[in-house]
Amino acid sequence: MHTLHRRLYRLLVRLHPAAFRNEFAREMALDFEDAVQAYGPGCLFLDATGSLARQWSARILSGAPDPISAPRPSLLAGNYVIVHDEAFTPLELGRGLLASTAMLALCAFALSVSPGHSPDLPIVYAASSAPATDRNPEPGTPLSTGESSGSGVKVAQSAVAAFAQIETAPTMLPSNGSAAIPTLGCALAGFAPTQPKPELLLFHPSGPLTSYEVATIKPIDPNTASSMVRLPPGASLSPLSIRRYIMNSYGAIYPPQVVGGPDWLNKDAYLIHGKVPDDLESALQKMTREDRIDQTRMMEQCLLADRFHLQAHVETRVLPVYELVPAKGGLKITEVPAAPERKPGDPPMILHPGDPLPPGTLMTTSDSNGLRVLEGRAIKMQVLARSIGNEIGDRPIVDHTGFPGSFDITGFAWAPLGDAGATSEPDAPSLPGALKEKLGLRLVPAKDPIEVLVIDRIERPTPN
Amino acid sequence: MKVDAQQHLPLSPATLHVLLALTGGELHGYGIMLEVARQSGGQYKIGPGTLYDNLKKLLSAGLVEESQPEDPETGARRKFQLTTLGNDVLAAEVDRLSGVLRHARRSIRLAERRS
Repeated sequence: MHTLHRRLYRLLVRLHPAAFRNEFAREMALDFEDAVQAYGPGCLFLDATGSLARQWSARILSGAPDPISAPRPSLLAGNYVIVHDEAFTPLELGRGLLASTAMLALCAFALSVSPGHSPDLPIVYAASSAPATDRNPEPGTPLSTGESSGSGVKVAQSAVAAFAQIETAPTMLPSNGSAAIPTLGCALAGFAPTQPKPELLLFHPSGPLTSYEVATIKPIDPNTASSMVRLPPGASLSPLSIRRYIMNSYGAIYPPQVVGGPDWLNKDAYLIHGKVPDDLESALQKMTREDRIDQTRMMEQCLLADRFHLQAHVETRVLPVYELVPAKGGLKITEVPAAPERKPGDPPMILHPGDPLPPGTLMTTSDSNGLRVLEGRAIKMQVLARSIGNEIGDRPIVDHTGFPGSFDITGFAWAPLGDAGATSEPDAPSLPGALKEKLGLRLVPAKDPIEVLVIDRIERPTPN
Repeated sequence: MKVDAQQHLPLSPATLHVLLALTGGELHGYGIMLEVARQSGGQYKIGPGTLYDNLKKLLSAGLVEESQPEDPETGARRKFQLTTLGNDVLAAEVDRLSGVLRHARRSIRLAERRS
């Protein structure tokens, strides 16, 4: 979003009477951020201006004093001094003119390049099978929501694109020999507030979504929700809470990445089985594992929109995380060649007991002493962070090691959290301790921008 | 209760739409904006200014109440929900509008017959 738009809107909000401003300013600013893409800034400015006029006229007509505004001294109060001003000399006038022109040019240029610094907050509505054009309304067109017309998907500008825009901005200026202005303009733009690229991105595709040919949803006793249910012909799946199903379909790794929604999202368990269309079934066999997962997620998002009437949007929030960083002694594992890329149509990897781990895979098990053991072969740090994040659970772990390579991990064992007494090895290190000792890594509490899915509305499905 | 509800009639279009949006359950501000747009097929959209003007009045009249306060720590947004009085007022307004519609249809039919 254009930084100037945001600032102008906040200025308009600040001009409201203090009582109104103190109660609603934050919500108005948040709603502006959400709505500016769909409604257009012009409409929202007009709306805020109308509100400004209504609030002030209501306050003046009611005659009630603003209870929250602090009394201010009159501008005319104070001591007065008589200044004997003399006419400026031509030299002073010229210098003043030059300085003010230069300042105006700098301000104009900084404003023209600063929008690229603020990546948009993506807004994602639960997808349906409507065509992509229906889900991507142009600014100013009605925002289609809900079950009837699908949902809007707006893809965020990446921070990389923002910086690229800054790099190219000076070349768009007329080349009139004034090289100093672009340089200083860039310098000023560099100080504009930037929003770091969010971590743990969610899966919200922009293209048309495929849907299950038919799907059955059956409520299940929540007490059995952790057990597998066998389905014909030979397939089995685990009943899930809907919050977990939403997490899976949007690629959320940690529970804090799905926010809001009623309590039954956590309590009710459903057995959901979707039949993949025959033509897609054969196409899936030829896809890579990642593409297959994406296709499945799209179908799940479609099901959530159609059967649960899910409406949600994506926000970037600064949340508590652990950053995985190198420890002081340095890394204690050595880099190995990267795992070969999986090709479309490769058969799924099935591990049998005693088989060596294939490259690019990781396995966490519990040994006979009650310790958790992680073995990995040619795995990336991001994968390691995600895996140990599931072990810690209270907050996400984000890879900040700066090591892009692949690593083998062997003999990495730790006492499970909150269960140290249950192991037969009382001296076994905790997970942070083992990370430092065995891998030369450590966890640092921090706050990072994370993509989260905010549930605006969801309904219980009709079982079938 | 019904007498109280009548005092608030007639409702402005924005107020009617905000109350109608909240019949589905608690919503935050942007959720209300989206729901209003959805209910009207995108023909009627309200911005945050109009929304909070109306919410301020509805809160002070007791037709709407805050169901979840904002929490800047967690980023939670304020949510609003209908009160019982709000429900009654909405029902009374729908009754009133139904009467207006009946009368309007009858008048149009009579005008068509005359012409």
